[in-house]
Order: sequence, then C-alpha cells, then structure tokens
Amino acid sequence: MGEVAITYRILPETTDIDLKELGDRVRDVSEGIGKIQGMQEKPIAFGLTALLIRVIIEDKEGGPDEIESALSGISGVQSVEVMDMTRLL
Amino acid sequence: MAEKPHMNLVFIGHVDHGKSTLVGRMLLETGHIEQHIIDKYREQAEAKGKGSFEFAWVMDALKEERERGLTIDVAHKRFNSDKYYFTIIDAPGHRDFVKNMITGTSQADAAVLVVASPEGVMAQTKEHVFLARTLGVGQLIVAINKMDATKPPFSEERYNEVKEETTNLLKTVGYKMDNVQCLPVSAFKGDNTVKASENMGWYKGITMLQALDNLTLPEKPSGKPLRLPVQDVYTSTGVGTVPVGRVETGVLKPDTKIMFMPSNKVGEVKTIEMHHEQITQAEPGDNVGFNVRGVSRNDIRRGDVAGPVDDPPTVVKSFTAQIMVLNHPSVITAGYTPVFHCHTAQVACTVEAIQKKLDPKTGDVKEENPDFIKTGDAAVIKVRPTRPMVIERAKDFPQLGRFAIRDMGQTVAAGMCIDVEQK
Ligand SMILES: Nc1nc2c(ncn2[C@@H]2O[C@H](COP(=O)(O)OP(=O)(O)OP(=O)(O)O)[C@@H](O)[C@H]2O)c(=O)[nH]1
Ligand SMILES: [Mg+2]
Repeated sequence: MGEVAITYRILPETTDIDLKELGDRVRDVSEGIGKIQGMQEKPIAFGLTALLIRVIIEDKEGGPDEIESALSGISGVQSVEVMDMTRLL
Repeated sequence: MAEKPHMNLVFIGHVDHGKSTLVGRMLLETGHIEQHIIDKYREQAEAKGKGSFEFAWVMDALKEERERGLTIDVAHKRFNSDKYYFTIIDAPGHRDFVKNMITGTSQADAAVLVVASPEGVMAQTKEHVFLARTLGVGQLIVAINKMDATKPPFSEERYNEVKEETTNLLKTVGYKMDNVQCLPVSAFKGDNTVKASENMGWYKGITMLQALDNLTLPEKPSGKPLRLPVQDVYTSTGVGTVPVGRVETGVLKPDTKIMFMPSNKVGEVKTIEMHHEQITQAEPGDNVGFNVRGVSRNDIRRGDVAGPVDDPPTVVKSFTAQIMVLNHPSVITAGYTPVFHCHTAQVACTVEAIQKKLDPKTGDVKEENPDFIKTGDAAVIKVRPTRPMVIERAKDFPQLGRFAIRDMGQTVAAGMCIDVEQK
C-alpha cells in the first residue's frame, strides 16, 4: 500500500499561543502515527497565524482519523483543516 | 513568457491499474524528470549488466527523489503540455480518505480515470468515478491502460469492451459523453501516451498528451454569488469579530453587507486580510480573515456560511441527494441518523426515505422505494437535518453541495445534493 501526504492548517485557539511550542506538541503527538515532513508558520489575518504541517500516513483503513483526532486534541488547537492531499508516487 | 494556464488534475482508478506508472510516463516524456536522475539509473543498470533503458528505473528514481523530502509548497508533481501546466493529485485508494477529498482539498479541474484493460471496471473504479462526479469534476479522460497485456496484446476488441463498460458506468453517475475522452494506452511501454502507437494501427484517435491539451479551463466561480463557509471566529482587540475561511464562490469585498446562515446574522465587512496583508477583494480559493461590524463572536460559528444579503446561503428543511454507500456494516434504512460532513458543517441528519436504488451498470432505476441499501449501492434519498444547516444544490455550488456521511468513526457514504426544500 502507498502513502498519502496531507497538508493540514492548524488554527490556534487565540493569537497569543506560542506557535513554536505548539509545533513541538504537534511533533510529539504525531510520533508513531505519521511522519511530519514539513512545518511552517502561515500568517492569516489580524495577528492570527496558522501552523501548516505536512504529514505522511499510510493509505489504509482508518485513513486520517487517528492523526486528525490526535492533532485536534492538542491543547491550544482550535481547528484542523485539510488544505491539500495526494498519494505519493 | 507568460505562465501557462494552470489545471489541477486528479488521477483516479482501481488499485494497481497503473495510475502512478501513467504519471511517471507523462513526467518522463514531457521532460519533467531531471536528466541526471535518469542518467544515474541508466548507469546503475548498465553496471549490473542490464543493457537497455528500463522504464522501471524511472519509477525507482521518482521514489528516491521523494525520500529526500518535499517542502509544503512543492507537494505535487507537475508537468506541462503545450497549452497548460498541470499539478497532479493522486487520489488515495482507501475510502476512509473520502471525507478529506470532499470537505478539504481544492477543486480538481479534470480527472484521468485509469482502467486496466485486462481487468476492466472494478470496485474502486466505481467508487472513484462516483467521487469525481461528487467533487464536481466535469471533464474526464479515460485511459484504458495495460493495452500491451491484453490477450492477444493490443486487442481492439478488448479495448471496445472495456470502453463500453466504462462508458455505462460514467453515464450512471451523470457524465455527459461530450466531456469524456476514452483512449487506449500502455503507460509501461509508452504506447499512445505522447506518441501515437505503432502497435495499435486500428486506433485513429488522439494521444494522452493531446487529450490533456484538449481539456478546457473551467470558469473560475467568481461570477457566482458569494459563499464563504466559516472555519473559525476570533476576536481581536481593536479589530472586533474576525471570521476565518475560504471563499468558495463569488467575491468578498470590504464595505458590503453579508449574511451568515443558518445563524441568520447580518454584518458589514470592513477590512479583509490574507497573509496579514490587506486586500481589496477575496476570490475563490483565497483563505482570508475579515472583520465584520454588527456581529459578535458568539453570534456566528463554524459551519455558518456567509453570502450576500439579497442571495443568502440556502438553509434547508430537507434535501434530496444522490449517494453511494461506501462502507456500512449492515444496511441503511429510513430513520438512520448519521453525521453529514458538508463544507465546514457537521450535522446529524435523518434519512427520511430511500426513493430509488440505481443500477451502476446501466444507470437505470433498479428499484423504487427500496426497503434498504447496502455497501456498493447508489441511491437517491431524502434527508432531514436535525438542526438548521446550509447545503446547496451541487449543480449550483459544487463545493457546498457535496458531503461525506460518517457514523461510528467511519465514512459510510458520500454524495451530493440534487434538490433542496428551503426552510
Ligand atoms: N503490462 C503493463 N503493466 C503495467 C502498465 N502500467 C502499469 N503496469 C504495472 O502495474 C502495476 C501497478 O502499477 P501502478 O502504477 O503502481 O498502479 P497504481 O494504480 O498507481 O496502483 P496503486 O497506487 O497501488 O493504486 C505495476 O507493476 C506496473 O508496472 C502497462 O501499461 N502495462
Ligand atoms: Mg500508485
């Protein structure tokens, strides 16, 4: 089975949240579920900055559920949105 | 030179029918694999005593290339034809990814359906065709692949059989054949991908590359009324209420009144920002934040859709939908109340009636008012949301008319809204 690369946009609960620390927590919870292949801060509007991450997971049963519930459960995370998704060749 | 127009191209088809190989072939033959990579693999193979150039090396090279890591910005393979530049989306095979295809990713402009000629239409071919239709992908290229592996090889008869089988399937889900181009290829050997095949003298049609050039650029939906599903709502000191979301259709402009539905709140857009910079208008695909006067943070929420006051998003009492059951452990009957994921909304909805079961082979109605439907069935159903919800006819707003149905942690079905009964 192949692998799928998904780009998520993570919005913090407030504009005060430290995105470096949030990024560390993202790495921690993703361990063992998927491989983080990129992380980047993305300015949105009026001081709100999102965290973009690219995760590689297996193309199999369960799909993105496990990684999505792990990411959504991180303290300081407001929402997790799929920006982009493709199988890797 | 001005950049060529861009198209998002999604590759779909059953497992192992050759999607990756066809992408690899197109990349190679349009000169989008770096020569030094090809040379390196050629040298290695020659050192091992395998003389001739093998296409399999190219696939290895591509795998290795991605191991080196891609950045967030360059997630996709891309290649150019004469007319366009394409970015490639290779659809995941497992149905548990369908929810993300429907609610998450950007709009695909065209699809390439790969069907292996020795096998023909298979289960995942049907799922992916239905998915493409649900995603609002209007144009389709059907690459009937592995023509070198038919019995006998490059069989015209087999091509016609598979073509007919596929055409029937496409008609079932509502494709117009004017927008579909079927062609025979061997992705592995390179027949009819970029050059006409010497092995298929009976075929007088166009190549894969020509078919790609013949695609037409779908109109940007900026001419439609505004639809902006709200992802989240923030408050910022001195700025006020800031909804965040992606414009799906229409244009968002400062100093205009907009309406949030189903919360039924009107506000005035003051300033719009994207990447922390003020912009004069937001267009389809733009991810923006904007401040609105007259609306407090608690007035609106994720799942609301913003639209013009004189043409607000449709709040439904009930709606009619065409669905495909992807994975349900037993059967679906009237009364079933799973969660519908539609744009940014998640709403429990009751299946009030199963009106028709459709035959995926012919497109005909197989049964009126069936008692139940199960995995693999396509059907027309009537649905009633348990609380106010915005959904649009997929014909009018594809991005707001498609949904995934989830239950017990699984994606049970996917579908699109074909009619609405307004509240
Ligand atoms: N004979 C022949 N084999 C092919 C052709 N195209 C692909 N194959 C073979 O079919 C197998 C599957 O090809 P892939 O390109 O990996 O198929 P896929 O659709 O990407 O498969 P998944 O990503 O797993 O769904 C490989 O062994 C390929 O070499 C073809 O035109 N002719
Ligand atoms: Mg593949």
